[in-house]
Amino acid sequence: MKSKLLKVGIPVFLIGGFTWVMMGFPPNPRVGYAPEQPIKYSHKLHAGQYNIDCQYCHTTVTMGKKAAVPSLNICFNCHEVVGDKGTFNTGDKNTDKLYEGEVEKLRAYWDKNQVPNWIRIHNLPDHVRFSHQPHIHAFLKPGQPTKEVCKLCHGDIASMEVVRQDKPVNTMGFCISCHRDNKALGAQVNCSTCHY
Amino acid sequence: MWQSVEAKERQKYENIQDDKKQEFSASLQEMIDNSIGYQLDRKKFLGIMGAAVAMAGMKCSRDPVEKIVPYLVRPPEAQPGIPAYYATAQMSSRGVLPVLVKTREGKPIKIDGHDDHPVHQGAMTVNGFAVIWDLYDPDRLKTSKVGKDGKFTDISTADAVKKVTEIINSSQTVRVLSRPEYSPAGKSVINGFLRSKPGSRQITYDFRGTIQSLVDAQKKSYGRAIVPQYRYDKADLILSIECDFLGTWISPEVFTKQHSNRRNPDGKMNRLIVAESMMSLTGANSDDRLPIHAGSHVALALGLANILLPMSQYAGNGNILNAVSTYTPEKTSEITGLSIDKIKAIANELNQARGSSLVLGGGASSRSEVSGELEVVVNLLNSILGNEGSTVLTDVPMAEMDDIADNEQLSSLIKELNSGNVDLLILDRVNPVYELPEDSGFKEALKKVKNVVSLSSYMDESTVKSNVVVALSHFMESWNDTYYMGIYTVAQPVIRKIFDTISFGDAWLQLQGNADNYYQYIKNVSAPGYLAGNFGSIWEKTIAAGYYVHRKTSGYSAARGFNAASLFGVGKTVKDSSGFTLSFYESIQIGDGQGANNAFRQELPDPVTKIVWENYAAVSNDDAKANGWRMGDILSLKNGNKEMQIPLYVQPGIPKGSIAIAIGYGHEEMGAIAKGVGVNTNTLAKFSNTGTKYSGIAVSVQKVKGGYELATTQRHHEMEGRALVRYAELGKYKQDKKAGNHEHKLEGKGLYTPHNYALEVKSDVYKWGMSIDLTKCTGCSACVMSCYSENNIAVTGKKEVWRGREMAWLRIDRYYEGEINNPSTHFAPLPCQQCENAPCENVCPVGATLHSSEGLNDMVYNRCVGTRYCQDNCPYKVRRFNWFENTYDKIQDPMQMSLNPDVTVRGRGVMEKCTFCVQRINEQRQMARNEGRAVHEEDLKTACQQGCPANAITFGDLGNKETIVAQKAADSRSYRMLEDINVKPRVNYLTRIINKG
Repeated sequence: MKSKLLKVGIPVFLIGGFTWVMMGFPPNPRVGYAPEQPIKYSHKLHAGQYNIDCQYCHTTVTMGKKAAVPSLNICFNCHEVVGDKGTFNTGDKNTDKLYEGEVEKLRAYWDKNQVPNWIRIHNLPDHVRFSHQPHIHAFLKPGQPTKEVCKLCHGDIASMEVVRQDKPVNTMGFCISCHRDNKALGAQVNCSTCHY
Repeated sequence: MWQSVEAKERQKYENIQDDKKQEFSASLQEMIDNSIGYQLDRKKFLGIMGAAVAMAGMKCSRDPVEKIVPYLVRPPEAQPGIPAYYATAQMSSRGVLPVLVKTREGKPIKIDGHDDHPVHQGAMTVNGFAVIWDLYDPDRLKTSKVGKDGKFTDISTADAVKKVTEIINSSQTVRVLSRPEYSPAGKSVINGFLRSKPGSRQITYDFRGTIQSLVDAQKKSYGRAIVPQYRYDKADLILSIECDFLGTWISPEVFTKQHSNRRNPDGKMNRLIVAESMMSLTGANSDDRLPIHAGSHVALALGLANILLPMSQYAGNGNILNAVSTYTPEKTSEITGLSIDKIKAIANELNQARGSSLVLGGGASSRSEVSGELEVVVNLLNSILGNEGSTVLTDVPMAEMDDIADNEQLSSLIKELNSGNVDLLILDRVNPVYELPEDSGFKEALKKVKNVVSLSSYMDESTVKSNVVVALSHFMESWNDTYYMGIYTVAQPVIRKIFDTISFGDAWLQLQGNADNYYQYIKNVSAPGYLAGNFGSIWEKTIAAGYYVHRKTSGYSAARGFNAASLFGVGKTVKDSSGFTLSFYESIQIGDGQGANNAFRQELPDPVTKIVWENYAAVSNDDAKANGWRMGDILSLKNGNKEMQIPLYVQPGIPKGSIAIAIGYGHEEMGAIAKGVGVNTNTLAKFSNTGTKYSGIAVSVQKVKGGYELATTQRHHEMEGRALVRYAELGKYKQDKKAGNHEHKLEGKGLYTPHNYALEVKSDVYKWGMSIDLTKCTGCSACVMSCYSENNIAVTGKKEVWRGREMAWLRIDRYYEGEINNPSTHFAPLPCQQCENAPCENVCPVGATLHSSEGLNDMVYNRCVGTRYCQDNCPYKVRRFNWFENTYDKIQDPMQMSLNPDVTVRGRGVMEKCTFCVQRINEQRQMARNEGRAVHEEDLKTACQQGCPANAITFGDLGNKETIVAQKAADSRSYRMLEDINVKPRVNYLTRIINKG
């Protein structure tokens, strides 16, 4: 059984693989990835319309490897008082309708001491070590809104109702071309810059 | 130079492939042949092509969906991706080791030394690093158990404690067997229990005997049961008799730190003389090593006292004179096997260094029938030499130990157990069935006890004989406090309990019906006795800092008067025995055997013999030759009707007639790893009312069979007689700073085109390099363990090590030199040398190892296809290949929690090697750049450097002339290993200077 599988499998693999390569690799499947999240959180509303700085929620981006999806208590800094049914008013009827009940969902998690399991969008392979902190420090000028820096890799998140991966951040070419352009800022192009 | 006896008598190992099974069922050629031979008809061909077309149209499937689970309320100190450090303290029966535990996302991942600690100053031991894997040991008790005759059922720990309380209430006579305690709260909770239960009594015993015999002797000679402070940093001359103070004695990390401070050839360098019957780490580091017959150490000490006595204040003391006068140099020479001249010369040297010398004696390999015998004579020597109050201080003792039982108390306990009058025996973190000599009869006596309760973390030899087992937490899961060397520490937990366990303090509190938890108890009862001032703030500060200086040594103390009566009975055990005598010693990896169920300890090569996963009978070359024994023979050692079979290892430096064996092996229970590894020495150890005999046991020796394989890491890495470790005597070095360090100039231009750094980024100003001082390095292997822990290095098991497939990124080569019966030993730690002209880089066909702009040889795991050309081409043989899924396939829950998330776990078929801890370099470089400064040398330490208790390893930027590493590289002692092959390593070594006096 095993040998028969091999007998069929090897020609299929070789011929199929050859054709696959010759046709050109398929496009990066992650670009445009925009899964539905447990709560319809809108960056367009928060970061766009209300112009809340990225770092208000993503607090560890200047210190740690991860920008960190905020803990729920940060949401309730505001939603303790705003956004519940009745007080929900974004100034646009359609938006109100679209997001009606979402804050209640959030409150339900909070009341049950639970957290939503967000679906990860920007995901690098495990053999890549990326840290947000040096990138923010290299680009962010004093007084500048953080989103102008985030935009370089994440695209204009502040205009997205549903976050999607905008750029091929999961490919080495994307990283290395920027690193080559920014040697003056201290960017390295060693293997051990990302792989160790 | 030659490396080991194997190298001299090279044997063929190739034919002993016990595993003939092939990894794949069919070879590739076979597979291709089969597929070509396959009869294709048109229908099948179309079928196959159809499948191929379907495959060609296939898109990559999207990565699996990953979830992000945020905190509900993020604690401010818990920053994802940023480590948090907590100060705490490890406590063993040997002493206290203050540590910093590095946690990531709430999981401890690495243990580091506590650099700010006033006494330890970051000093670490092998054991200190290895406990991280004990925490995550899948064999640890996951819940408590009740049972009988070895059959157990699980119950919750809360229920177990209730059950024990019931048993206590229904018992009249209760005995508690415990180990030396350095925790004031721990002592006091057990005392509280004893007070609450009339008819109960506690017996504390010390398995390895180090503390017991030392304290016994202190009590006899000076009246107080203390462990005095030994000041190696103040001693110009150290004489150690059977005392492995650099490896296993009391607090070797502190002693190594102090000792290595004086191993400075440009300052006032100390001199170390070691007399021993085995080859210990201290002996290997000595300037002068005197091999003496096993069991003759007391005679040597008495002989030296005999010579020195007339020149001291005790000259007129008749009692002392009586005790020592028979040990004339002639007689001492006869017993010990040393020459008369040598004995006189050492006495003379000691006399010259009055008040600034230090005599040490003790440890497992000196335990004789009379406990503390050697230590009493050593006390006498220190008193005679005026070291009392100068290098032996008592103003702040290391520990006060007035409650350790002597053997008389132990044997009366065994008698009591045998009489059947004991209703309940509580074993508190001890394993007496394993630890006490077989002839003590403890195992049989235990059967007569109505109820045995064990507080334990493992199902060990004693626990399986209990009725109730209360599962204890690891120290990293529990509160505790310690008092050691005048420093009070509140040891805090660093992780919530992983299993259903209870800390020993809480267990004792609950057993006496105290409603407090152990934390409150420490805070309210124990700590106020030590912390002065505003308690609230000092308490918090003490927890955070990890230490509170309760008493500080003044550096001097009054010399105590030596009580001559303590010499009574000393020396009676000294016999001039012919034939073979045994001595048991504590090994650095396994120690007393409490941590034997840890593959990392087992796989750490013994610093001297480089053997892993085993203990063995180390015999001298002369004896092996005379009896026709070879490496790999199994010997049968017999004393009376007791027998033990153990593989033979020919160890240079062991005196003729002596056999040395490590304790702590040969567990019959405990866990998958400890079970059946090595041989338990307690079969032959002798228990008597006066002491436990580990040294000088007469045995008859017979070869049983041959062909056994010991796995050692050294024979794979021979360097074929090149001067890799350079050394010189101090006298010669004083005259010529380049003594022993002869440069090997390269002839011609060499093959390599130098790496062109000019093409790189301007801002890369660092040139990372390392310097290793061979004068300071003791070979203790703490760096190796630290490296294992930091870099997620896998263990492979005995068989794979035997095949040369161990994964250690940093190894310590050990070289012998000189006469085989008493060679000088040299150690050379060997990380990746990060060559400028790296031979590995040129041969990689896929560019998986490349030069970085900062001079590192980067290793890219995800590019590596496993050709192993680089390993083949590496002159230092520091590259390691993953022949198997060493981690993914073998790791068991919850061991994955010990992995460092900053370092890739390497899969099968991938090469790996030392990276100079590039994850730390990157972190520090990024932080420095964020703050607009250069990397501070003190912030960036490699794991090995951090682990080194001797400060032998320095790491930093060679490009900056201000750094210590650059200064060391420019030192006259500096050399590069194999510099004549022009690979230009970034690691330099400093010539070893030996003080021959």
